[in-house]
Parts: sequence; structure tokens; C-alpha cells
Amino acid sequence: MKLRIAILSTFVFMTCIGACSSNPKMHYYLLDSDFKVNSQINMKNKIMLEDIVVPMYLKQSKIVLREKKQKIALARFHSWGESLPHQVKRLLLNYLNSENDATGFVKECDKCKKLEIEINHFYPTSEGDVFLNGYFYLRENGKILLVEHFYIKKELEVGGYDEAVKKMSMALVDLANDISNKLKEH
Amino acid sequence: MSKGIPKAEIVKRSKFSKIWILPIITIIIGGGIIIDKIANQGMKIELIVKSAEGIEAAKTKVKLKAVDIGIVKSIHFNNDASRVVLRLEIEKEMSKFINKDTKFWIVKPRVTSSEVSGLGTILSGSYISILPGDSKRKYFRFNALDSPPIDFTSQNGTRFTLFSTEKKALNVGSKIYYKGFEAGSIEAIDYDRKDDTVLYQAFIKDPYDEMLSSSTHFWNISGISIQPSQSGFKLNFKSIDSIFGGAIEFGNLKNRKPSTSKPLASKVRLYSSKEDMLNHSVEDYIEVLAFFSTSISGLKSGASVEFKGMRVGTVGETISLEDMISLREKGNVKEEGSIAISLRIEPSRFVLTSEKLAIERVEQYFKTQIENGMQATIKPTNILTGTTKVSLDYSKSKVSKVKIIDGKIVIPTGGIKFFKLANSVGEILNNLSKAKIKETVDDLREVLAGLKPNSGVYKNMEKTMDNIQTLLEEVRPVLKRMENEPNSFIFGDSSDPDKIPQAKE
Repeated sequence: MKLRIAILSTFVFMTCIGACSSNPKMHYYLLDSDFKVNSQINMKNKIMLEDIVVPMYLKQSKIVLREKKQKIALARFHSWGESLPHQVKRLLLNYLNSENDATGFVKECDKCKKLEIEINHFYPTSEGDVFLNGYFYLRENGKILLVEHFYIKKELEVGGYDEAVKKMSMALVDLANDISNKLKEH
Repeated sequence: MSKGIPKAEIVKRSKFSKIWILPIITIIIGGGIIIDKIANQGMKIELIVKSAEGIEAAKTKVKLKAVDIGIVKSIHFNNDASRVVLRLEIEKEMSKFINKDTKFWIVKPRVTSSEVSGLGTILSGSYISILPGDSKRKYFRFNALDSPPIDFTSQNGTRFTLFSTEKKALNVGSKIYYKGFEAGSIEAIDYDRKDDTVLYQAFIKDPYDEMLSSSTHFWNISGISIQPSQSGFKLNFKSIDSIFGGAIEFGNLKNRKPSTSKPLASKVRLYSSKEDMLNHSVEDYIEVLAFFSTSISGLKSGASVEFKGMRVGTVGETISLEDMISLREKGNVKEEGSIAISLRIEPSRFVLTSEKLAIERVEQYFKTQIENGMQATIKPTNILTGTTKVSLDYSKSKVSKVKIIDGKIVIPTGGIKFFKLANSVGEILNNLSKAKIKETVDDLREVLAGLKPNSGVYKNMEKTMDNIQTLLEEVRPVLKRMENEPNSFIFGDSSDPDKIPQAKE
């Protein structure tokens, strides 16, 4: 009886050890780990940045990789440390305020212009590209003042998720610059 | 020479070879296993259902009081494919619960106005529940119920029928209250074609059924009622349940304790409201006739009869034209076009010690007051709705002898008192201005603004829904993995590692 218990326990223990050792490590990423320190935000001329609109397949924590034209894969061991729309909004607020002295970009505002950003595609591909595309709108009192389409492409030099996230972050910085320029022209 | 050769020893050979021991043991063990399996085989039955939604063969369980007692073995169509036949296997020890009266139903999420149940099955999956019957007869083919049956065995109490002449206002499951306590519920609803009434089978649980007697009355308390009062408008409703699912309250009339000598009848009237109950449930009253030559517009059956502002009775049912003509002739009523109205003077509305004595005393007092000049006049109750009531006042003209027609006292009548109308209107307008309507509307406007699409509350709700949706998206792959590869949670995932984004070529 004791021998049987010993054999069974050893089997279970070995199985557990085997199970534990077979899982790879989880990696978590943040887009805005390189943030700029803004000295002062202009509160006289404010624009409210609305919550970023992303498609359903980006509304989860796993990093999306485009394998082929219509095929995507969700990475199981490479995840965002925070929800993607929140990170994007925080990064954009940071960079928009650092690029603009005349205008202050805020999260909430009662009566001011509203900037809406809708992202349609935002992912690295297995061929070594990073895409960011979508639209942004400027509204005031429900009326659309400005509509612009954006398409930003970056290339991976080394490959891997680390560089992919870095390039995605750079794409967002380019978007912030693009928005700033368009708003200045308007 | 013959001494050197050993003599062979002849040993009798056994007919049974030892080589057969192992096969024989194997056969015995195998036979034992087969016999054991057959002996412990569960009871096989068939259950006919309308749809097998949520049911899976070899997965869906059969349960009694949340304990597994069987499983669905297979799912088939019947001969004409109009129904689905589930083949169930019930564990041998549990087959004693399966008999001709046993009821089966599928437990799945149910959301109705009076019931929310089965939400646990959203994650665990639907299952089949049973309610054992009392029959001694075994049965092997059953029809599933559309909804869970009423369990008559689990609670002590009293069952009876409520009937209503109004349209159906309650649902199965609507609560019955006694002094604010949930005392029972409606178990079933039916329609009586013969009497054109809606029948509600009611159950009052122990110990509230001790309050039931022949003097108990039931009234509907569903929905919300708005009553104007001196301080403004009063909103009345029993509970959120009663607004949407309907509810009933019961009690005994004022100053009356439950009658211990007379039990509740098996069929009891359900009044449309407490007021309706008070108007119609009074058993002892003095019937009085009044012939009005003025308009009786706004005067309805059930309206109040008041004396010096105190309600003393009720306007009775409408008198038919033939009866009215007959009464006029008998009473020698000379005013042309006068309309006969039946009034009930109800002694139970006064605080008296003895009911029997009260009627005779009130009748005598009434006659005396008529002789002293008491008359009935129609007065407005509510200018906005146009309803009126009967008021008993004194005039200067006295009556020498009180007229009696068919055993009913006839009370003289006066005209509608318009000169007090202006005062009533002023009083109402004054009350309305005190009701702080403007402040209430402003508050309401503020609350509604908080619920607009751009408001903080709305945005928070949107964010919360978004977060829930994101969470569900996160959980979905885990559930899929649980369904397809449950062993991967212990032995690790056998699928390929993540694909890595490559450098641009």
C-alpha cells in the first residue's frame, strides 16, 4: 500500500514539474514608456481628446501580428501591460501637448473643441512592417471642422516584439506630429 | 543386468492442465465485470422536448435538487421530426424517483417580469431537472414541461382561487403581501368562460394562512398610483416587483379580526384596488334612494357619500330604467326627468362596538335627520377629472314623514352647490402652487441631463460596458482552450509558440 502511494505521488509530482517547466515566459509591453515632460499646458485654448476608438480585434491585451494579407495571429506570450486604447490616448496627449504651445490637449472639457481618433489598423506584420492607419476628426458643438485620414508605415530593422513595440510607439509619435501640423494649418 | 535399469514410475496424468487456470480466471473476472455492469446499469427513459437547445449528448446532466442523478445519452428526432427525443440514463439508485407522475423540465436562463432564474446555466450549461411524483407505477417515456412546475410538496400553506372581473393584471409568480410581508404568490392563471372571470390560483404560506378567514379580502396593488395631497403629489407603489410583475395584498376590514369560526371560501373575489375593496366589501348597510332632478354627471358607482366631510357610505350600483320607472311610480315622485340613485349608508365606517345594533341605530338616526331637513346634494370631488360625490347636508325645509319605497328610505335632494366651486378651485390652485412643481421639474431636468449621451454618468456607463466587453474578449480564448484542450491546463499547451515579427528584407 505504501509502495503504491509512493509510486503514485512520484508520478503526479513529475507530471506537475513537467507541466510547470513547459510553459514559456509571458512578456508585457508599454507603448509610452518614453514619455516627454511637458512644462505647461495651455488652458486658454483647449481641445479635448476623446477616447480612442479601436476595432474589436485590438480590444484585448494580446499583441496582434499580421501573418498574411487577411490572416492575423494573437500572440499568447506577448501582451500589452495596459489596454491599447488607454495607452494610445496617454501617449498622444503627452506628445500633442509637448508639440503645441498654443493649444492645450485635455481629457475632459465642458465647452471646447473635440478631437476624435479612430484607428482601423495598428499592428506589426511578419514581413517586417508596422502599420498605423485610421481617421481623426475635429468637432465643435457637434459640427465637424476637420477630417483627415492617416497612414503611417514603419519598417523593422532587427525584428522581434521589442522592436515592433518601439516602432508602433514611433508611429504614434508621427501621428501626434501629423495632427499638430494639420491643426495649425486649420 | 536387470538390476542396473531403473524402473519407470507410472504417474497418473491429471485430466485438467494447469495452463487453463489463467484463462479460467480471466473468464471469471470478465464475466464478473459484465454481470456487475448489467446489474448496476441505470434506468433508460425517453424525454420528449420541443427543442434540444443547450442539450448535449453524453454531457448534459439530469439533476434532482442540484444532485446529479443521470445523463443524456443520445439525442434524436421523433418519427415526423416535430419533436426531439432525448434518451436519458438515470443511475440505478436514483431510479426510484422516476415514476408516472415525475415531471421533467430544462433549466436554462429565464428572465421574465416576475422571475429571473437559471443564470448559473450561462456558464455551466443547461441541464434537466426533475420533480419526483407520487405514483407507484414505473414509466419510461415523458414529455418535458415548458417551464418549472410548482412544487406542492415543499411548503405548508393554503391554496384557494381568486376571481376577478377585470382583465388579467397579474402573472404567475406575482407576490401576495400581508402587512408588507411576502405571504404567498400566484401559482397559476386561468379563464372561466362561463362567468367571464379571470381565475388566479393563490398560495399563502404558513404562518400567514392563519390570517385567512371569511372576513379576509384581497385587492390588487400593482403599478404606481399618484394621489394629490395637501403637501403635493404622493407616489404609491409597494415594490419594484409590484410595478412590473403585479402584486396583491390581503387583510381584514378595519376593526375586524380574522373570523376564527368561518374559514376562507375556496373562491374569493380579487378587487381592483383597496378603495374598490372598501367600497364593495361592506356587508351591512342601509340602502337609501335619492331622486336627483339635476345632472348627475361625474357621479359613479363607488363614489363616496359624506356627512360633514366624513365618509359614511358609497354610491351604489346603477339602477336600470325599468326599476327607476317602477320606483318613481311607487314613490309618487312628481319631478319630471328625475333620476333615482341608490346610496348605501355603511355603519362599519363608523367606530361602533356592535354591528347589529349599529344598523338599527343608524337607520333610526337617519330618519330623524331627514325629518330635520337632511338632504343629499351632488358636489364636485375633483374639478380636473370632473368626478362628483354625494354630500348629506341640512336645508331649511323639513319633512313631516320619511318616505319608504320597497323598504328603502328616500332622502330628499338639493341642487349642485356651485357657489362653493370657486373656493374649491382656489384651494386646489393654492395646493398646486405649494406642491413646488417648478422645483420638482428643475430637479427632474437635472437628473435627465445627467443621463444624456454626453453626460458623465452616460460616459461612465459606456466605459464600464467597454471594459466588460474587453474582459469577455480576454476570457473567450481561455474558454475555447478549456473546451478543446482541457488537459493543457495541467500538461501544458501543445500548440506552437508565438510567431515573431521578422526584420524587413
